[in-house]
Amino acid sequence: MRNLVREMREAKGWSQGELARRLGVSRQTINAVETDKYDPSLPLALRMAVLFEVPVPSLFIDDWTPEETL
Amino acid sequence: MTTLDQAKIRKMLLAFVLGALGGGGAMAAFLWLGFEPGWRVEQVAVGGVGVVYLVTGLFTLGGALMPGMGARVLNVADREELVEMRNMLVGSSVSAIALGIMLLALVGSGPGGAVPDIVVIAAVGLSLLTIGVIGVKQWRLYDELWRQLSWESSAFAMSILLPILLIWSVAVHLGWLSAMDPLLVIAVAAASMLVGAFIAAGRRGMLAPR
Repeated sequence: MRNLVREMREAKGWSQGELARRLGVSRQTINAVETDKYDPSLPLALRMAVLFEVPVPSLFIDDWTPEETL
Repeated sequence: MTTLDQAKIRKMLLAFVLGALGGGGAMAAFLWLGFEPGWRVEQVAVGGVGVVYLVTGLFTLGGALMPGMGARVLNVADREELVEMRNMLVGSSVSAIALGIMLLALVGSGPGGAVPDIVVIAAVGLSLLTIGVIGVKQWRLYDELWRQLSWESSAFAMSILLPILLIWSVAVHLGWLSAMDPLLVIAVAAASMLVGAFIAAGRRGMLAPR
């Protein structure tokens, strides 16, 4: 799963530390999410979406498409 | 190559040199001591793993307590990151040091050993108590990534330890090998925890230079 956390954070002018502080997580968590090494929990993803004022699917992008059913 | 890349390489080299000097020196001193009384392989193994825990714990504790210096060696973005993580790092370091001391106390113990049983029992009891209490406190300090890392490192450690113990036990049962020495079991368990933690951290990108 790709994500646009780094782009949106930089657009806000926040450092990783600043975003971590706002979300109440460690800087390592932000770094791991931004480098696609960790997919955040649903509550954390929702909080990120609230902070960046975007829907979750605009922040976390999954290329999965459902199989066509008969 | 950017200035940032050069800085990361310099930091990695410095960490490598310090690790080699500190860890290598401590290991050499331990082995030099060990050869004199003619320790068995399992004593050297448990002591060797103990030295790794002790040195890692001391390095991390030093870095956490002196963040300015620690940021130059430890894999963090900057000094502030160490300050933010201080409580967590101090807890992990003290646990590693306690485990290292426990393992080293075991080296010279047992029948005919220089370390009295009561000292070993006290070292093991105090170490386990320290690690247990700190573990509970650490869990409260962890955020979701660190909790995930904790689960994953335990799972990796078990995935390493279990096959070794099972295969060895089967071989002993079949009469192909002699039973594993208790100190070797402890050494393998402690080493598995260490390797498990490294694998978990590596998978989450936490060993990449920062």
